[in-house]
Formats: sequence, C-alpha cells, structure tokens
Amino acid sequence: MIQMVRINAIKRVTSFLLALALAAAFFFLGLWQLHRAQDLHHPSTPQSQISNTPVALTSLISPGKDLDDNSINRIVTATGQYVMKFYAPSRKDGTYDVRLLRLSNGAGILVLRGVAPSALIELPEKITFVGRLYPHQATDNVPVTSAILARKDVLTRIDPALVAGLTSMRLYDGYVVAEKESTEFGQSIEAERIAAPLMAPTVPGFFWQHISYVIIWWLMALLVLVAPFYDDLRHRIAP
Amino acid sequence: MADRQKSLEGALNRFRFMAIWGGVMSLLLWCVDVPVTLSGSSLHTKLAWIGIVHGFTYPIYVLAAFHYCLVARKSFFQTIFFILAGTLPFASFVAERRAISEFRTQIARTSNN
Repeated sequence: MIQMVRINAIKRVTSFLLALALAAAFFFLGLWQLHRAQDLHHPSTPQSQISNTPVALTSLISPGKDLDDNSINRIVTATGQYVMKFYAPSRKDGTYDVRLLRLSNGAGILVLRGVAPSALIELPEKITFVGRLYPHQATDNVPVTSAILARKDVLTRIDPALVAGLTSMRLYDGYVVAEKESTEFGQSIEAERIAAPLMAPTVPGFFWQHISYVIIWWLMALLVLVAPFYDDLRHRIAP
Repeated sequence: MADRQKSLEGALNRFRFMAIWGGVMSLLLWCVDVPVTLSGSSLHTKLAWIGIVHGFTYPIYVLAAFHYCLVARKSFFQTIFFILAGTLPFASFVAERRAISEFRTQIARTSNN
C-alpha cells in the first residue's frame, strides 16, 4: 500500500517537473518570437540613418563573427590583395565576378566586383575598394549539381562558408558589393558594377504573424501546466 | 443526462466550426503561402494575411478542441491529437469527422438504452 502511494507520488512529481520543463521551453519560444516581432517593428538602425560615409571594414566587424544588424548596409572600405577569384551565378544579372580579398590583418572578405567578363582578369597587387556590406546569401542561386561541385571557381551562393574549405584564412561574414576600386596609386579600376541598394530588414515574416506565434506558444505553455491536473479537470467538468 | 448531452453538443459544434476553419486555413498555409514564400516570389507579401489569420485563429481552435475533449471525456493523449490536428492540412477535417461519428454513436447508444 505504502509502495503504491510512493509510486503514485513519484509519477505525479515527475509529470509535474516534465510539464514545468516543457512550459518553460514554450515560454522561451514565445519570447523568441516576441523579439523577432520587435526587430521587425524597430529595426536596430533605421535605413534613413545609415551613413554613406565609408568606414574601415576592420573597425566595423571582426573575422569569424556573425554580422550584427548595425553593420549590414554600411558603406565600408578596405585595402588588400585579391587572392582567389570565383564565378557566382545570380538569379537576374547573369554571372558575377566575386573575389576573396586578403587584408593586411591576414583575414579575408568576399567582394562582388560586378558582372563577370568571359574570363576573369588578374588585378594589381594592392587594391582599395569602397562598397556596401551585405549578409551572406543563405540560399543557392543555381541548383547544386555534381558538375558545379567539381568546379572550385564557382560559388552557388555568395557565402564565405563555401570558401572556408579552400583557404586557411580567417574569413569575415557577409560580402561587399564593390562600388569603386582603385590601385595603390589611386588609379580607378573599371568593371561592370551592379547596383548596391539598401537591403530590407532580414527578419523573415511579418510583425503580426510573430505576435500570433507568441500567443500560440504561451497558450501551449499554459495548457502544458494544466496537463498534470487534466484528469481532475475532466471529472469536474464532465462528472 | 440531458444537460450533459446539451453541453457536449455545444462543445462539439464549436469544435466543428473551428476544425473546418482551421483546416481551410492550414490548407491555404501549406499549399499556397509556404510554396510561394519558398519560391521567393514577390506575391509573398500579398499572401501575408494567410499566416496572420491562421496564427490568430489557431489558439481559438486549441481552446475549442481542449474544451470539447474535456466535455467528451477524452484521454490526455486523444486531447493532444485533437489539438495538434489543427496544425496539419486535412488532420482537423479527420478530427472533426471522428468527433461527429463518436457523438452519433453515443446518441444511438443512449436512445437504445
């Protein structure tokens, strides 16, 4: 008899603890959705306040770290040497000329120079660029086939993760769309540039959609807390 | 007994309405909104209302399903099934059919007694 009571008590405590853990998880999922909704409603830097004055890339971001919202869309400048060149098929303008620039600190950043000519030309040793910083692309622009995978000079999306295996350099997250390039003697380098417009906030979805998910997760948390008392509740409502 | 049947009928009707509504919204979400969003089409912004309406009405479905399960004396795991049915296309239609057939069986059993 005592053993039965003890087993029942253990069962009840375990189910209550499980319910508490699940409710906490659901509560935090709701909180996460609330933060995403807040991000959409109050972007960290309003687009109208983004300065067009170039800032040094190395003073804005660090290699190996994710871009923060305040860095995206900034006009940046850096000096270095192009050490790798890639073709990057796009969804609208044909194929882009993308290079990996090694900076004086030894880290690398992907630079989209413009529309790729039929053959990618070699460029002078030291280059200074000015361009807009974007987050890395998350989806491939072309289907990833075995033929594309075999080519080391094609990027299916502009993402430093695709280059990481080809170099020992530490890489900056994101990429820069170059607006100007010049040699160390100040001579401008010509290329068929592409537009570098301000990018819309990157949080997917819509404000009210995220708010509705907050309500769903918190309602689930409440129901999970009620779960250990479900049988009692059922007998009370439908005796 | 008559009171319980009346209360069950009310809960069932509320659940049926929300199950059909939730099923239609789930179908729109999974078969229209999600494919358009994944395709990267600009139509996505015009279809934003689907996700929002589904998001705000699903909690009402959950409450209707929970109340129906309590009144119909469903087990805890059956209740979970009824609640989760609102997230998948067709599942809420299945739950609605199941609820109505159980109710009819119960009515027939009561009238035989």
